Amino acid sequence: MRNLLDLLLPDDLPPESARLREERRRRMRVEDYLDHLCAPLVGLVPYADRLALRTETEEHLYALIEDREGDGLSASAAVDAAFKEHGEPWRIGQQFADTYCQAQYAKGRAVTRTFLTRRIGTATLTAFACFGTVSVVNILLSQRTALATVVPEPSPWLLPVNLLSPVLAGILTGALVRVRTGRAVATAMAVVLLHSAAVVLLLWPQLSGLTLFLIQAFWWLPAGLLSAGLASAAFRHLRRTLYLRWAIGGTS
Amino acid sequence: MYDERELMRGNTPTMVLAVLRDGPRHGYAIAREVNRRTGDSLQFKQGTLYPVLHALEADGLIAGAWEVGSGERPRKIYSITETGLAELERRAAVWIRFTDAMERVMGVGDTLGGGIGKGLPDAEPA
Repeated sequence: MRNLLDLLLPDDLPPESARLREERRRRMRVEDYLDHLCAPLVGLVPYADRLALRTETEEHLYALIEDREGDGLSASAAVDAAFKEHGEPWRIGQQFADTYCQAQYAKGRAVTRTFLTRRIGTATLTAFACFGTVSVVNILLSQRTALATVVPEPSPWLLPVNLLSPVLAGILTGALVRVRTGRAVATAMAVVLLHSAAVVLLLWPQLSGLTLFLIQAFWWLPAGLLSAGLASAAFRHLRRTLYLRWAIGGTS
Repeated sequence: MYDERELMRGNTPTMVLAVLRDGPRHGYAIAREVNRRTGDSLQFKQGTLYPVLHALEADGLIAGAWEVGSGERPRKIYSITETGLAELERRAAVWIRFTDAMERVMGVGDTLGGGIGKGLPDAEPA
């Protein structure tokens, strides 16, 4: 384990060295590939099994890369060739998840992947939970504004909540979903926008529903994508760094 | 659609068992050996080996053990078990029976390379 960690350590490398920079870039790409491969297994396959698969795949990828470099490819081209030969990571992860479920089922353990998690994906469901929750809050505030004849003044919280909601939901999604966050947020927002469009029709001719819909389309979507992407990258980096520190502290 | 990849997917466990019969290997070595034996004619995605390896291990047909050499990354070495050898024999028998039947149905048994349908007896009238 120590050798693997040594290879992953990035922080002590002098950035001026081109070779080390290239190695660091290669390592980041391999890490990203492995994150995508293991993502379908989170919440399904125990951590020890995921780590074993990750370590095995990592060893395989580096062996492939070294072979392709030995064939005369550049460092970057060797990584591309290795990824191509190894296969699409998400698909391999899905295959592994299916195999794991079949093995567990054969042992009489009820581990099943629901239709929703298989077809839609845990990432999208998580993003939908985050964005759906803040959307409901905003719709309630919009309705309160639309009913201004009953409630004397529109809520002063409406605009700040409208603006901050996608950032909050994005950060939460990024913390919970480590890969393919863009796709997950876009899918979740598509459902949220459809729902808001229905609210626009229900509140018509009041315009607060339409305002919310426009804010969601032109602010929530880009802000949500950006904050989820940044949060996902930050949490992945943080998790990796903390894990490495913990592991090195435990082995040295 | 009739696809080589579908055939590959169904037969990858058998290929893995056949490769491991000749000695323990890690995942990358298994992939390279499959490519070598097939002359690279079967292009399969090497990552698809791992779900197969873990399934075979769960079924007790192969056994995996981690190995950490000095200065190397940890590797999981797989070896075939007695149960795996028996399963390979069974699969080989099924495969031979199946391909033999398919060749006779398709009329390519004695004329491989000569084109499908050559040498077929005239169809019986309905």
